[in-house]
This record gives sequence, C-alpha cells and structure tokens, in this order.
Amino acid sequence: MPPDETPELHPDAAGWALGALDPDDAAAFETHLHDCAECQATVAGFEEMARALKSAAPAVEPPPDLESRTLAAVQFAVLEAKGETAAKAPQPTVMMAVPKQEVPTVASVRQAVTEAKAPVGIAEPSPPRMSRWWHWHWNFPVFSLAAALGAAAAAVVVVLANFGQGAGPALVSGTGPSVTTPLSATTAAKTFHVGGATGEATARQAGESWTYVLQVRGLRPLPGNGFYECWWSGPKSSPANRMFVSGGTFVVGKSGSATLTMTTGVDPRVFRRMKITVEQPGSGRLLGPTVLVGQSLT
Amino acid sequence: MSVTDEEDRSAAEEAELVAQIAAGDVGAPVTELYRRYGKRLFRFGVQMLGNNALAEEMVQDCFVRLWRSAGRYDPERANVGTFLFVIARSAALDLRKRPSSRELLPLEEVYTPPQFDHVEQVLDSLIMREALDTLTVAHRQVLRLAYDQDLTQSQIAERLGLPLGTVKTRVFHAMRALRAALDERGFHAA
Repeated sequence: MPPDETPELHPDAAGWALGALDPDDAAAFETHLHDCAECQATVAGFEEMARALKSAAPAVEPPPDLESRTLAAVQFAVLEAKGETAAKAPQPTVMMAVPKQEVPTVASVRQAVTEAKAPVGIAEPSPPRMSRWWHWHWNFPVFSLAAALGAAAAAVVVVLANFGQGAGPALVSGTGPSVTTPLSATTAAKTFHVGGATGEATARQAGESWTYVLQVRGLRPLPGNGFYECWWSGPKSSPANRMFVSGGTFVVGKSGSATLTMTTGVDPRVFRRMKITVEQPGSGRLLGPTVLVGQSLT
Repeated sequence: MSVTDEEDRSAAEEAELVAQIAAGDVGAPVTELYRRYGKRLFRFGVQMLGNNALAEEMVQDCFVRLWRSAGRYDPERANVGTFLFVIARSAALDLRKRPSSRELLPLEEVYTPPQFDHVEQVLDSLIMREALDTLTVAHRQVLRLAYDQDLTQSQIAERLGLPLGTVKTRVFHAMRALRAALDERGFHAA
C-alpha cells in the first residue's frame, strides 16, 4: 500500500479537527479520542491549524503591471525629491522630434503611476508629430531606406527623460532580457573636446518593444543650437547602404551627463551598433560627427 | 547548505539590495525586492484594506517609502521582510485614514483602523496562504472543500467521485503536509 494510504494515526483525526466528519464517524472518533493520548495530541495540533486555515489569505494575484507601476512610482518620487523633471531640463527647442506630451513631466509620471498599464517610460505609440526639421530628416533617402527595411516600423517612439546633472542609476523597466551597450569616445570626440566621454545603454525588452536607458558622461554643452543624437545602425549597414534609426536627440548641461529613456521597436540584438552624433540644424548632413560609439554585448 | 545558512544568505542579499537603494539605485534592487515581496505585500494590502485597488496603491507607496527610508535600515534590528511589512502596515493605515479611500473601504471598518494584533493575524494568514500554495492540487482541493465550503468527507467523496476512504487519508495527509509547510515558515498557530 502506498504511503499515502497508510496514516499511522487515526485516519479521522484530521477530518475531525476540520469538522468534516460525518455525524456517525465523528461520534465514533470521539469515543476513540477519549482513550487515545496520541490522537489527542495530534488533534490538538490539527485543530489549531484548522482555525488558522479559515483565515487564510485569499489567493489573489497582483495585476501583472503592478511591478512596472511600482517602479514608476519610485522613479516619480526620485524626480520629485530632486526637484527635477524632464520638462525642466534643457531641451532643443526647434528640432525636437518628440511630441511635447510625450516628455515625462511630473504630471505625466504621476498619471503613469496611477493609471498607466505600460512600463516606465513607454509612451503610447501615437503617431509622432514631427517638427519641420524632423520632417526634412524623415524624407531624406537613407531614412526612406530604413523605413523600407522595417526600421521605420520599429521606429521611434521616443521618450526623453533628461535628468541632467548627477543623474541617478539607470532604471530599465520591462521583463525580458537586458542587453548592454558600452559606449566609448571616438577620435572625432576630441574635436568637440569630449575625448573622455563615456556612456552605456541598457535595453530591456518590454512586450514587443525595448526600453533603453542611455547614460552619457563627459560630454559638453554644444554651441548654438547644437545637440546630440542617438542612433542605431542595422546589421547590413555600410557606407554605401546606411541603415540608421534615430532614438532621439538630447542636450547636456554643464555636468556633461545625461540619462535618457527611450522606447522603441529597435532590437539591440539586431541593431547592435549604437552611436551618438553631434548635430547642427541646417548642416545639410544626415549624420553629424560621431563622438560615442559602441556595440551591444549579446 | 542548511536552511539556516540559506536564510542568512538570503537576508544578507536583501540587506545589500536595500543598501543599493539607499545609495540611489532604484532600478534592479527595487525590481528584485518587488519580485520577492510584491505578491505578499499585495495580499497583505487586500487583507488590510479589503480592496484590490487600494492594495495596489499600498504596494506602490510601500516601495516609495522603502526608498525614502532605506538609509535608515539596520539589518541588525530586523530582516528586510519585517522592515517591508512594517512599512506596508503604516502605508495601509494611512490609506485607510485618507478620506478619498472611504468610498472603496468596507463602511463598517472605515473608522476602525486595525490594531497590531490584527496585523499579526494578517501576516499569519499570508503565511497560511503560502503554505497552502505548496501543497499538491489534490491536497489543497480536499482542504478547500472542507474548510471553505464546509463539506463533510462523504460530501467531498461524492463531489470528487472518490471512495470515502481515499478522501479520509487524503485529508489526513493534506493536514500533515500543511503542518510541515507551516513549520518550515516558523508558523505556529495560536
């Protein structure tokens, strides 16, 4: 007989403690119990458990998005404590490709905390409202190629969260694998006096998209309306056939540091190469000089 | 590795996670602690507040408070789990006092915040739930029919299409397995 069929104590002890015996069985067991010290001890323990069982917590599960909302709540608290919001951080005013409402202000983060179903930093994939500058960029042949190759489908819902000076550690939401891309300065960086610049991007898959947290250090504010731009290049990108997707633009303050959160369909395992370029509106070039470059560690 | 060694290692890991949060890292350490405690805290919130939406808010508030107080955490005084539930209790009490919570709370309990004993009972109920979750489906099923639906063993046998003797032994072994699971968690019913 299998072990499950051979209780060494009275088989009705547990049922009696639970109040689950039928009346005849209960009466018979109580007669036995009166003279059986072993069963008395067993029943005492079982009775305590039976009482506690009645008050067992319900088997409720937290909603799956509570984790991301909790992280958003903490991020919001950090922003509030710093007295900083992305809206307060310096932004390129003319050439921003990001619709204003997608910049995570305190109000929008608060909304995310209380309402959002998406992880931190993921904006609703509404069609981007492009500035004239961006429109020009979009119509550029290389971008058309990228769009034709599906990069545009993965394109770019961008949330910039420039935390500015002393930006804290990265918070990358999402539940999938994370991919890191270390960035180091190029030779051209010295031209812009940022030869010591470094950076790192960490991407984590969140549903069908990827949330990137890009941290850069050692950059400098650019003169005029200059700004930095983050790009991914595709697996078959070459000087003759360039496949680039922009993640967004940013500026840095005097600290030279910034932390950006970007959500996109660009898979870092496919678009492995990332670069940060220096851009000047009206330069006529698609990509400005690259100051930081790196390849994802996959 | 003994159970105690493993517990010590886990406690040290969690203390380190809190230290990282105190140092300003609100990414991976928060995620890891959420994954370890989020479900329990949520259930705690449901028990304390009687409302899932408020429980979700309590969990979020709990981690924000953890970030704010992480610098004051002393691993010599309490483990991280205890620290979190003390925070959660405070967050739940504040939510109960909040006027805007009242429409979500059971009316008769709005003005009677739970006392410490109640919190202890809630924690016990969470441990009981976790212990129940470790049982086999068959064991959990017979216990649930007995304690939740107040069925007798013959009614359970009829419901499940099993011989009465099988139900009796299954109930017996379910209770024994439950006791073992509770013992592992240091739970002793009062």
